[in-house]
Amino acid sequence: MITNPRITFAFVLLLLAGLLWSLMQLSGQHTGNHDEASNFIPQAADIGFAQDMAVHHHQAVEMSELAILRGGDEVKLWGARIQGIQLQEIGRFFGWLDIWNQPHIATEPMAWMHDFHQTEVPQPLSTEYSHHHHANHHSNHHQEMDIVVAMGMATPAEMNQLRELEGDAFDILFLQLMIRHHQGGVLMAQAGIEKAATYVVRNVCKVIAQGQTKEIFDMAILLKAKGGQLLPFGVPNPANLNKPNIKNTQSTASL
Amino acid sequence: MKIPIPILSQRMSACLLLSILLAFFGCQSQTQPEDMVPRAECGPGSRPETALQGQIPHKDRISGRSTEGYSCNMKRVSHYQGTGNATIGASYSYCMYAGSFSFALLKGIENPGVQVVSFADLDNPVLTDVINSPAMRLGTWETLKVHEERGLLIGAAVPLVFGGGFLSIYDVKTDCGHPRLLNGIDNDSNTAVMPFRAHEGAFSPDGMTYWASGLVPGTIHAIDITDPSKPEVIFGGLTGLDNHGFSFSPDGKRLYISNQFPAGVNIMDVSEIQERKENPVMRAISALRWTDGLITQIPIPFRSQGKDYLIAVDEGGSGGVRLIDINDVNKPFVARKYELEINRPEHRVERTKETDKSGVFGYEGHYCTLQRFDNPQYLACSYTQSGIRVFDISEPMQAKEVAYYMPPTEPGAHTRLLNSAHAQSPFATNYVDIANGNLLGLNITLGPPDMTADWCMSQPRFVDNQIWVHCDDAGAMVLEFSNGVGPKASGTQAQEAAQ
Repeated sequence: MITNPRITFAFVLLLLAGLLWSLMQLSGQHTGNHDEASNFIPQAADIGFAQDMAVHHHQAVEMSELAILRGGDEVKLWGARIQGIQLQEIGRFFGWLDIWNQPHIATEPMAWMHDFHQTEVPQPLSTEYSHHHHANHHSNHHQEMDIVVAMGMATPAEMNQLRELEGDAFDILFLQLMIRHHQGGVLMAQAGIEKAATYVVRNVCKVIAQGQTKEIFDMAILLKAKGGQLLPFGVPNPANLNKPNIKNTQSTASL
Repeated sequence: MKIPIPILSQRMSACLLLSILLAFFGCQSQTQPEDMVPRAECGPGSRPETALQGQIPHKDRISGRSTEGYSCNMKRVSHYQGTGNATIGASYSYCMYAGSFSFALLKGIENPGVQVVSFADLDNPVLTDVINSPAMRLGTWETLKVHEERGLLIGAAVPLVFGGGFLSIYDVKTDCGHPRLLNGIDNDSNTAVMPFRAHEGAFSPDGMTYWASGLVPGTIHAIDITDPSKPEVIFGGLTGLDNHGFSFSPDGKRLYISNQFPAGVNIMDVSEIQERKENPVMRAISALRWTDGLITQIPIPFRSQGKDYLIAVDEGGSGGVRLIDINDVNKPFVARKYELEINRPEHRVERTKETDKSGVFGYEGHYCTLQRFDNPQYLACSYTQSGIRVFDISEPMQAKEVAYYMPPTEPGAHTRLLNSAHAQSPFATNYVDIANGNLLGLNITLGPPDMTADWCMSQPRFVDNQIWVHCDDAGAMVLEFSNGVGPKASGTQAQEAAQ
């Protein structure tokens, strides 16, 4: 039995310190050592990033499949490259989610990013980086934002338009959409770097942010060579404003 | 943020990895004796099974007894075999549409496409048409579906397991015997290529959307068919690593979609797509997984005595049919299993020995139909090698079998049944039972199956006191209940069909 009060005090202090450390780990609080490689306990941002980036990547894979089928030689190569990278990353995200005992798809997509205030995306054909147009992903009312637009994803109308094009017109729209898609991907990866609790997620976010930023610049060179312009990020594509995909479900229901 | 996955545990995760790596064995069965469904009491005119419930025993396969078929409180009143059916056939009014199979093209079938058969005269069903737009010709797998109210027949091209790209929409309301292609181009003989993947397909309840799931990865696409002549993909997303069959809540805002590895069901909020919100997003609601089955098929919602349930089927792993309580949609759980005797773990050896030369599917269920959404009394399911089975589920927790029909088999008929997915299977094995430890006994037989059992995989359709359904070898069949079993014959639907 320990009778020395100093030893008892030291023991209790150590116990409390250990408890505090554990609680901080469990609650996702960082101790200042942000690259702590031993933290494997995911928080909402880790889970949300994996779920939402899988969905985001999946659209890039679908666009890449079209590029492989219909693009010119350079665009075919881009399609194959993006498909290969992003498919293996989707597998990685789903693997994490399985290990964490979490579903593959989010109950509230992008909720983990609602208080992320980064507003810069790579803008290769103008200045290196510029503020994008009030993408409202930093609103506190994440339910109200158009996630598809805010994350640079192609709208259903744009996907249908891409399918219908051929030749240079296809190449230009593919590059425009994929650059904008990558801009959204970089934004999500930046949020992951800032918000994820686990080293493994933050590390992959860094790889994605760096890799996709480089791809944005490389694709932009090709886009410029083909005479195309960048699409604005974070606002609906003006070309699609006059043809929304909302349909009157009453008028043609004759059959 | 967290979604409860009641059965997904560390052991489950281990089973998932094992499954994907084809090391399926090792998951402990969760089956209980009380999961068994009492046998039907067969009345006069029946030709009952000779061994376990759901079984065609080895001796019957050898002796030729299975060529006479088995029946209980149900008889076949009409059928049209043609060149057979591929997996999922459909029916509307008095017409039946046989699913098509890409292998039929390779085998040089004379008139490839979906065979249209009129049963206006049950004594003399006739082939009235073969529809052959690209999707119909390339193979329809599990996409050939009818929307009753709109009178539309839709199929997607699925040449072999994976497909998409081509969608054919037919008007069958005007003349079900001669479907009219609505989205044709190039003089109506062709259809445009569309950006979607397909293995399975289904209508939203209002018939304004046709959805297609892609199997692996778990893609799902929604195609607006408000104007059937101009179908348009309005959503593409993921439900997870894989998916399979699916259905919807009556308002079309909730998607119930099955998972294969591991077996289970995902419940998703698709209200933004149903409501045609611009740039829609799909949200997960909850998920449920289990280890005593594989490759779950179409979950179907219903309401009984004020409680909400799903019926889900496993087409692998002898998982049987499952009753899932969804009263708290955030916490679904398996309330009851409806298990045939042959699906029991203790009969693993028999079923392996019997089924592994008759294709890749065994005694598992595949597609079910409920008599209606509210308080259904009857549940009918196609059970691959165990035929069509009907259960009384008026008390869902005390379900009992009331009737079954297993078609007469035709060993050697594979040379004739060029459109039968069963008859044209290039190899046979018992892989669907691997989850139960049968990997060591895996026996792969190349060449045509022995055909000592049929494959019944289509969705049955209740028509008064009849069931209209396809089996792969037997083709299109009209089955009638007998001995006071089954829905009462009002005559309304039958008269409508006859007219």
